Amino acid sequence: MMPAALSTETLERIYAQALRLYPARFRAAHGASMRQTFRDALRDRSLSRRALIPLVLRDLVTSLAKEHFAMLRDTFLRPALLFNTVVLAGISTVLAVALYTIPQQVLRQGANDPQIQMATDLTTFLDRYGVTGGLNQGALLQSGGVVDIAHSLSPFLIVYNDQGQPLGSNAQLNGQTPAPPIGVFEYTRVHGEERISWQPVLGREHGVRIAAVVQRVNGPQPGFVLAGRNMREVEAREQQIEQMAGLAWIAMLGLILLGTAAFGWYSRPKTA
Amino acid sequence: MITPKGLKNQENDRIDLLQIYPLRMYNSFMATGTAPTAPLTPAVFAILLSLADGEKHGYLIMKDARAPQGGGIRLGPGTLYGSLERMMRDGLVEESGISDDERRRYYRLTQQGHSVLAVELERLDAAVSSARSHGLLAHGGHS
Repeated sequence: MMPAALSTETLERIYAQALRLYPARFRAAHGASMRQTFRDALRDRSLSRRALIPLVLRDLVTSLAKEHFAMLRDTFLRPALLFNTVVLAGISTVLAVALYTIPQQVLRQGANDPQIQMATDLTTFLDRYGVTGGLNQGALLQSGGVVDIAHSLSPFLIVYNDQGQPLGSNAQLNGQTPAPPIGVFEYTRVHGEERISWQPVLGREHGVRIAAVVQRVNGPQPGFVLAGRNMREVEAREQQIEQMAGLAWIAMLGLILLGTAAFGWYSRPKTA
Repeated sequence: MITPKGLKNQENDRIDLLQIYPLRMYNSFMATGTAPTAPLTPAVFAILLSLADGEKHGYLIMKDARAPQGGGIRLGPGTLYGSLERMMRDGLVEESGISDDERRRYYRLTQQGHSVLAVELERLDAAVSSARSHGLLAHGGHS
């Protein structure tokens, strides 16, 4: 049976059922008036049912979508709610960055501790005897065997002359003694000490990163002392902290999202 | 959306519950939900035009809108009442409070509604005048 052939009462009942598809607030505010308007339209002889029914069907589809979208917008996208969400998300982001940065810096600075002591001791010795003289007196002999920088986590020492050429070392990387960029020596020459994260490159990239302390040797034969240590373990811990901070950030954003959705729903406009 | 000068936004009064930031940025961010300005949507224009000559209930507005002189807009009840709700929120129309039936509510234009309609009519009039001056529309013909 075509809808146009149904009785006025049947069409009204169908329309009343269709009104249940609108959001509750909209239905409570306008449902009775919409039903009355539809009833008025049905009884208006100047408007044929063949014209009215398709018009109402199209209107149902478009206005249902529009009112549900408006309901969602009024519930969750209110400016005040969005503003508070953005502020909370900003605070949680700052917290997450601090959660990562503070322990990362503590770990990184702590990774320099043995090198500071070793470099200071050796520099004090070489200040007195000069870099060549000090090495001739066995300045590096007491520091044990040769350290393989790529694999060992032991701290190591390298002595350079005033031009940055290595004179002596208890460490090797690919069979050679690495040297930091010349700029490091220039800085140390002026400031006395430099602390760097250094990735030596000898022929090829090998991904070894060194926590290095460089100190200036003064006295009769000036030069530089570099004390370093492979950062593999420290960087693994930094990565764990990064993952934990990332998870904490995602959890905080999730909580904010849930809280915003719950508060938006709880405080949604109840009347038109 | 831009509100004509001097017209107050009712929406801002409802959101003071969350206004805990004494910042100008917050206040400017909150300044939404104001009355529409020209050009109006066909539905809003047809409703304003229909109510310009007095208060009417829903079906009379639909009927006026359907007529060629009322805009020729085929409004269904959902679109009509959705538009009326937003226009009431924007302060363009209001319920008159008078009703011959509990289910049949009557609506009328507010002062702001009259202003917005006048602005829109002036805009359309200027467009029609321009069309006439370019020979796109016969002088004295229907616009």
